[in-house]
Amino acid sequence: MGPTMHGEARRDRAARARLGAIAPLVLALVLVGCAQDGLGALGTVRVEQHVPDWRNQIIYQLLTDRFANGDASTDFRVRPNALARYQGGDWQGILDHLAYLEELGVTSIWISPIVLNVDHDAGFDAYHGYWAVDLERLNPHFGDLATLRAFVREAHARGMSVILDIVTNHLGQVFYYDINDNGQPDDSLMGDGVHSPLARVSEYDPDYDPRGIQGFTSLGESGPARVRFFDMPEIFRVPPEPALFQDPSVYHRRGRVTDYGIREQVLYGDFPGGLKDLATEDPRVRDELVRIYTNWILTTDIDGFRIDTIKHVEDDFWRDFAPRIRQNLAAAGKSNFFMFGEAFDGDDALIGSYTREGMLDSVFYFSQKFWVFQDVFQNEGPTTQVSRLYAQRDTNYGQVPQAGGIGAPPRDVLVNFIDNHDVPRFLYARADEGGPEALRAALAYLLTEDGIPCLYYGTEQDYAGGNDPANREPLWWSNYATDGATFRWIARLTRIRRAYLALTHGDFHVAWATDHVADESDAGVIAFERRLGGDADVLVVINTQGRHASRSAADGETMQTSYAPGTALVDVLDGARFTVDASGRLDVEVGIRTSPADGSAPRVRVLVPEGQIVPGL
Amino acid sequence: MTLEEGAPVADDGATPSGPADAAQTQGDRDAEPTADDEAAPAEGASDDASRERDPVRDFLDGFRFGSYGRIIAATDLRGMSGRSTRVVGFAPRVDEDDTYAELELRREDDLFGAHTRVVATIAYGGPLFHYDGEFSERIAIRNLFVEARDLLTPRLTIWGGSRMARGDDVYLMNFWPLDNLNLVGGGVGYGIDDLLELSLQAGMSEPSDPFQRQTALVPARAGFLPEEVVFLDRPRTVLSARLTAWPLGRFARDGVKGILYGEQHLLPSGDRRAEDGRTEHLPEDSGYVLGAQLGGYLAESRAFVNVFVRYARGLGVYDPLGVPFRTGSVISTGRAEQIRLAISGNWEWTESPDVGFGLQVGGYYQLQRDADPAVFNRGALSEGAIALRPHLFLGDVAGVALDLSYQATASLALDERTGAAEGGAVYKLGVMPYVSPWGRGTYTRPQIRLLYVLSARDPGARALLNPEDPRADRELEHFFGLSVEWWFSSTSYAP
Repeated sequence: MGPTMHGEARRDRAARARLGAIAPLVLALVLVGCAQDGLGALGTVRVEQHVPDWRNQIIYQLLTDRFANGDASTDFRVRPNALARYQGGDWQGILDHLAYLEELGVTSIWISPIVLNVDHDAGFDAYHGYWAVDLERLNPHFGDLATLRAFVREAHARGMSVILDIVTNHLGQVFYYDINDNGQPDDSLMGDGVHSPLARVSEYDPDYDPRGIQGFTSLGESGPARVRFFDMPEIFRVPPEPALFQDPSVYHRRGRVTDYGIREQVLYGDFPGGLKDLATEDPRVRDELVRIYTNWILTTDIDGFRIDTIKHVEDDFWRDFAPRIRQNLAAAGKSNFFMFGEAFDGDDALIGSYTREGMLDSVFYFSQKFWVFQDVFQNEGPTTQVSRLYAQRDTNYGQVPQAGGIGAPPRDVLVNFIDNHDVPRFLYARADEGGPEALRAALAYLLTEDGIPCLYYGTEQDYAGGNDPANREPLWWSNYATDGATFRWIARLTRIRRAYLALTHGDFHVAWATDHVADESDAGVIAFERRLGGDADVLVVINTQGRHASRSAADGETMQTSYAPGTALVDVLDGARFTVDASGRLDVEVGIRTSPADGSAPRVRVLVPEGQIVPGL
Repeated sequence: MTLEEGAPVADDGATPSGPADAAQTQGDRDAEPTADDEAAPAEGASDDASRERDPVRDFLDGFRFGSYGRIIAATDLRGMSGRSTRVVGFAPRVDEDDTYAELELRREDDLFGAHTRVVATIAYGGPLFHYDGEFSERIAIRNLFVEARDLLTPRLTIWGGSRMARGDDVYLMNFWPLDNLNLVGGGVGYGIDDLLELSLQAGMSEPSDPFQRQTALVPARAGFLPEEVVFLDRPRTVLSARLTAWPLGRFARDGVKGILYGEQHLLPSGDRRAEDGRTEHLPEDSGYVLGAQLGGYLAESRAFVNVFVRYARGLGVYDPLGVPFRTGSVISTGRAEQIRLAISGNWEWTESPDVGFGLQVGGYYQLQRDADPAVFNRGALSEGAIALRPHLFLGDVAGVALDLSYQATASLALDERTGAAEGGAVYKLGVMPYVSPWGRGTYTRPQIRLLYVLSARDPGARALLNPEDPRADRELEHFFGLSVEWWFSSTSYAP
């Protein structure tokens, strides 16, 4: 239980006191029976720890603009069905659909960035929230502070947590490089082709220059280009706030990244789209970011940060930012605040590096997205990819909990995901007939492996959008149906995950993986145990390919388990019974459908010792 | 109520509605010895004497001129213009900073047994040419109607045209708490002796807003130039009824008055075209207003007090010329609700030829919930204000008034920077020496005033201003200037 924000309470009382000066009229009004909704307890926030153990969480990632429209008054400049534009979703909509999320079984809601953005740029809207212009104001397209608080409070009341997406690497396109110093943003500058190269250069988003963007004319270079902030209040494209961010020196001003293989560019270049890179090594910038993001936590009582583009920020920043956030929250009485970062990269070592001592609690497990969900479940590649990736876990990821963090080591709380808002949806690449079954197999892996599962909104509705913005469909297109096969599959898996401690806390051991991808008897089989010790271990067997049934045996070998000989195992999905043989081995067949109606073997088996069955799932 | 979009329109800024009219009411009161707020202007009185006048003379003398106006020149003593400091929709008017005037021409005749009026009121909203050098003015026709009294039978009144329809005001807030309609339509009124009067009105309005009206250019049916097509066309119909009772007689020197009032607002369904070409259906909408007023007056001391209560629901919350919604995406007003209490009063002591006293009082409080479905928003608010204006009359033509006021607002929204509930308060102290060439009296006009007002904003009020507004950092505001206000012989009040 944390302390009340006393200052806010005083303000609230003061506001009431002001109106009390005309108490007789107020009293009369009450007497005539007028009732009106009030802010009630939302005028203050008591920050608390709401998540005792993050391993129990199941995250649901949503884009606020796309999840649900609960407040038509925020539907400003909405272009229905033009997915690069605002669609009308808001925090009230999320609040209104918490029951839907409860039925799905998710426990933590990751919402897209909340701060005020440059509203519109080059024909696109900031519906995603990654174009910040004022880090201390809310984006009015999504609602106001009271609604945000109400949503967070109601989520907590339902036993759910809330994760906020934040960006520290850059702001939106708040200034341009006046390369020719003519005082206007030119979309296209040309050399004359004789004395200077004939090339298109945009003052909004010029290519990276390690010296900093240089001014030039047809006569040649003229020194560092002047930075000019925009002044377009009608779309919030104005000098950024807080005021520190109106100082050009707090930006690197080197232009956009053109080569992601060059570390210097990744760190100091503008993010493509003209998103201006902050000089996060500047102590002033760090202080301001720590202050601002601490305040958002204290103002809303959210439970975690998903941090954008962490590989574009120097490592030292995270060793400074994360501990200071934890310290600030500890002082306010809030613990177990979860911070995980996004490094959009398949390099497992790079991703893991952000979980070293003193840095982040976890990362978005991108390498797994590519190695496992894409290569294995989507493309039906060898399941040894799973074991090969897992073999790097201890090397690449932090082994001890962060000081003052969530109490679990990063290696155990990686945020697993199948797809997200930056990549095509799983079903986009699996538009074939077997796509939905492949997705359900992947979901079974996601919801039974170690770490924290993260579902991208719309997965439960079999959305199949391609690259951004096609993968950001409004969820209301689905009418929030809860009777679809994938929705019901996820709901069942989340119930199972929550019911068996081994699925959230057990060690991960690959029991069977194969390079076979054709018609071999074990083609596509991945089996793993979640071990807690004793008799509570869970064995999961999945067929990742949908062409034929497979089994956990091949070439005269059979899957070795850790169960005692003769242990009776029961599939929690269909009740099928298996017995471990005298040498601890088990041959399990898995078919090509997750819920077969013809009596054939199902595609996924989740086996637990007979005496450990939890009924009613 | 704030001046945001979506708020009911009842101030000079949103529609050229006239605080003038209340003043005119009071002006007519000056012409009539009664202190009844239901003005009984001498020139408009339909008594036997007027009907017996010579018709030829009346025809020749039938033209009338009336006017209301106020002009202010003020500084904030920091080198900038004096500006009103306010946080509520109907703020105490002591530092009102806008120029407004009505010029009313009318023809009045007593012919064929009836008293007829043809009224044309041109309203002007500042600033004046002599201030900004703009040789174009913002004007509106506020009245353009024909009225016949005692037609067919005594005390029967019929009117048609375009007019402001409003009753008694809270002068110190420039506010009509019970009724304030702007109608194109007509009405009928009938009185029973001097004890009871029933008036019924019906009118229409259709602001050019996508909520009610939408036109667009479409490719020519033939030829080349695009043609304009009206896609959405749904005028609002407003019906109002007002029953007024004077238990002691309408023209009693000391009396009481009670009013029951109601409005019904109706809006048909319609279709409008969205930007992406989709057709969006707008359902039928409706709303109502129920209100009452109780007042009493004493002619001797020119004292009166009026207490108002008003409840509005749905479309009735919104002024017929107002746009109900901030974004145009909410298509029904059913959720909107408003309840209001108000008071106005006056008392004068004028028995000494050398010195006299007067006291004006005004106040209101209202709760409002906007139509949009957001639980928390700035359209859901409570606000109120109270003002006292004591006068010291010096001889017949001079005086000094103080103006003390308090206003406060609180909305169902939180300040994003502080996390606190949005709301604030303003305190004012004004000093107003004046000359009143037509005699002493709190409601006697014209007045030429020297004016100083000190306003204090609390932190909440400062936070309601845009952070880039220089005033957002100031606790105190000064308002020093010269103002003039007049009214005479005008008809801009309830029929």
